[in-house]
Amino acid sequence: MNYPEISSLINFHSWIFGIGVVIFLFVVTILIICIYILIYLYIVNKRESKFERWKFISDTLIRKSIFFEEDESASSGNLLLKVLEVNTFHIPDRVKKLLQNPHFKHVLITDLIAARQNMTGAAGQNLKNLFKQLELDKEVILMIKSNSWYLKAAGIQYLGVMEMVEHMNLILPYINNERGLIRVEAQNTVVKFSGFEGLRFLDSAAFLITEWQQIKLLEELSQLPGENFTGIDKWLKSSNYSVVVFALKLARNYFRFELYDNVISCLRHKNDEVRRQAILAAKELQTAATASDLIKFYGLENEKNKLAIIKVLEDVGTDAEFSFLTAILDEASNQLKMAAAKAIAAIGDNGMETLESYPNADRYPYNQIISQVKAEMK
Amino acid sequence: MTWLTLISDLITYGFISYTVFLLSGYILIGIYSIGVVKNYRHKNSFTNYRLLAGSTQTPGISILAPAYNEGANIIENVRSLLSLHYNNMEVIIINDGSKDDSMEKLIDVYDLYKSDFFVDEQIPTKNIRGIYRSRNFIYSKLIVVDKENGGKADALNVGINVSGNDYVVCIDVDCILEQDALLKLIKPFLESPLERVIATGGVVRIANGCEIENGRLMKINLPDQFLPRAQTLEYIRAFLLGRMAWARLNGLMLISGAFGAFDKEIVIKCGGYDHKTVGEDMELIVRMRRYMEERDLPYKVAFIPDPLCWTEAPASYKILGRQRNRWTRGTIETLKFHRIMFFNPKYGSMGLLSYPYWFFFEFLAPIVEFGGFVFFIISIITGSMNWIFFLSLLGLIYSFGVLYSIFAILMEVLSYNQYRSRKDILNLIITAILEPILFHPFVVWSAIQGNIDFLRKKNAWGEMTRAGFSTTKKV
Repeated sequence: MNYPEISSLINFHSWIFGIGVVIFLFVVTILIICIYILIYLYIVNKRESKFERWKFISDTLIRKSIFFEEDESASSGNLLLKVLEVNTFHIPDRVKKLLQNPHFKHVLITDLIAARQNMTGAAGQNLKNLFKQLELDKEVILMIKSNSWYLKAAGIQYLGVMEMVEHMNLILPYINNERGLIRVEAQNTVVKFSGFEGLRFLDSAAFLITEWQQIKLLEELSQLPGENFTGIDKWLKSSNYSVVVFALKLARNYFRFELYDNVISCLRHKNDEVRRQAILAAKELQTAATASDLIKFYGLENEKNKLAIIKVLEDVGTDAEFSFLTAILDEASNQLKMAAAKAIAAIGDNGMETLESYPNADRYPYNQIISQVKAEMK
Repeated sequence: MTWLTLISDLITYGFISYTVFLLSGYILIGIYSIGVVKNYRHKNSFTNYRLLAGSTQTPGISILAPAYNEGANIIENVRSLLSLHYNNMEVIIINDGSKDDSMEKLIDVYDLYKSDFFVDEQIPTKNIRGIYRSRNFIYSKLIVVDKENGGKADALNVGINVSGNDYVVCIDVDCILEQDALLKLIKPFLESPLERVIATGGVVRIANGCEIENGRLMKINLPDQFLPRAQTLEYIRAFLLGRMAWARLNGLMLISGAFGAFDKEIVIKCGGYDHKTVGEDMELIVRMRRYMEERDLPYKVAFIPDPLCWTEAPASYKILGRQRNRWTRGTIETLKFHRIMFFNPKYGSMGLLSYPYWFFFEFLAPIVEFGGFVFFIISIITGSMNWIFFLSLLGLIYSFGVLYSIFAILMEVLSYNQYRSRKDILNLIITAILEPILFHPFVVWSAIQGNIDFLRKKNAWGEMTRAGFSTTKKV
């Protein structure tokens, strides 16, 4: 390991010098990062103590605006009108002064949004009034106009939570935004503002609606009184398969029996998930023909969807389906066998007897399947 | 130039090249992780997880928790799992032939009865002695499986066979999960319409020193002891930098066995966990990825940086050595099983990036380090040691190691900032300085022992005695 001699290509001293420089740079970087961390922590911890005070002020302000409702309720018979009349709250001077601090503003906005998400009715309206009175909506609009995607998305969400319908035009351009998060928040906000009418964005939805977004939309819609909204039939024919999936969920959740034929036609769709959702929707919109409609497609389906069909037959099947279900007991998949056994047992008064009279009922796995089905039916 | 100097040159420049290669890799990973952690934090800042918690639209999850001789804490652990925020879930505890009183305790406390339950053995496993459910309605989500001992992989496979939901979350029963852990873990599965998410991993953190009450994490503290503290730093480095960067590249090859969610359909199609390896967690992910790659199906393995799962780290060199020995054997076995992927373009980034990374950085690094040490001894004995050169190289590697750890601490402070006090952060910085001297050499030695045990075909797990959370610090 005698390096001055080992290579004529590289000078030994240059090597050592080079390594020394790199070590020096590493050590300097370590020191800079350590100092940065300690200064950062100092600032964060200092802000933390301030933050607690700000949080207290913010909570007090919010509580007062909510308590106003309770005070009035004791003295007034017409609570809602009284509350809605309130446009101005008393804002202490120190709060007004603090509002010039962007960190405090951020705390207040976050608290108000969190509180608003938990409050409805008059208390929620009060929070909205307070939000506007403090001109926090202007702050949120600045967020939406910023270049940062997450500020835009958060701003859109905040406008939605605060139900600032007057800003609808600001939101609409984002409902087909290529940034998923902005698009999702914009779509949700439009639904918050316009209810079922807000679902019109599905007419031209250029991007896939994720399952997460579908859950959010369905939860949002569940807060609204059910109404006979239009558009599902159109969405069931959309070229965007995720729109069809969502439309099927809507048809199912809102019991749109008139769409039964459209739902059944989705059983021919090339997408597996669309067909699965169509099977589930058919269960909720069932007619006398549902069992036979589903059985027609059984042989063409993958195992997951076959399972879904059998589970639907458990609810919609009649004695007429015994022979079909009994034949499934001979199929290779144990999952299908189990589902078929449950369906047979659940149909009619003599389902259990039919199941027990299956020729292989005393053999594995049928004996165990039947035991479980029996135990579950007790 | 003699043959001896030529060989010596080759070895020396080989070491230098490998070092530069390794350091460059770590620098790239560090830089690459910054954006992804930042993006996730921004995205998460206004996500309303409560929506999922109460929704009836969420997909079903089966939590699979294998337990072997966990009698001391099993009741608390199960209670903790049952209290997680998620509507549509079942908790499956698999008693893997425990020799203690785990089963009796579970039957007694949760009022269990042996139920008729047909298990569709889609993955072959050891015999199931019985499946128990609770008579008490409030524990209706609980299923306890009593089976013959077959190891963790076998127990998890039983859980997969018994589970009735599309997603399975595999955890160590003694881990402490954050209340919203399932909500965060399941979200990536619902957000990716173009690529099928086949698995999601979450960050595992060290619970030693933390305050735990009734199976819940009450206060986060940095461990007092050096070994758990060094592992805290190591986990921050591995999860916050390494795995986040790999997730961004869609090149993750490992989701911790302590906490991960899987698409059950793909797991079953791949044949479940392999009980022939001690690295069953890594092996399953690699096999699932290989399955998707070979069928040309678009897929993703996601990872979320939130600290959602807290586990007890070995506090003694003996137990730590066993753990690292096992991890090494698991890595070698997985790499060996799937060696067809090595630099194989057919497997895309998996074959060209992830697999070679694991080969060169995880498998080869301790061997090269140990080889360097042996070469160092030989050079001293033969009197050919150039001390200036040696100390310069050592200084370079040491300073880089400390820098990388300090950078990880910076990322932690800027993102999750779990250890808020200046004292804790100073302690972490001191640990970063001491770790390459007091911790890393032992880890390398354990890896070498793992290699030797692999060659000797030893495939035991090695007993992992834990002190238990009840003994952790309470302020």
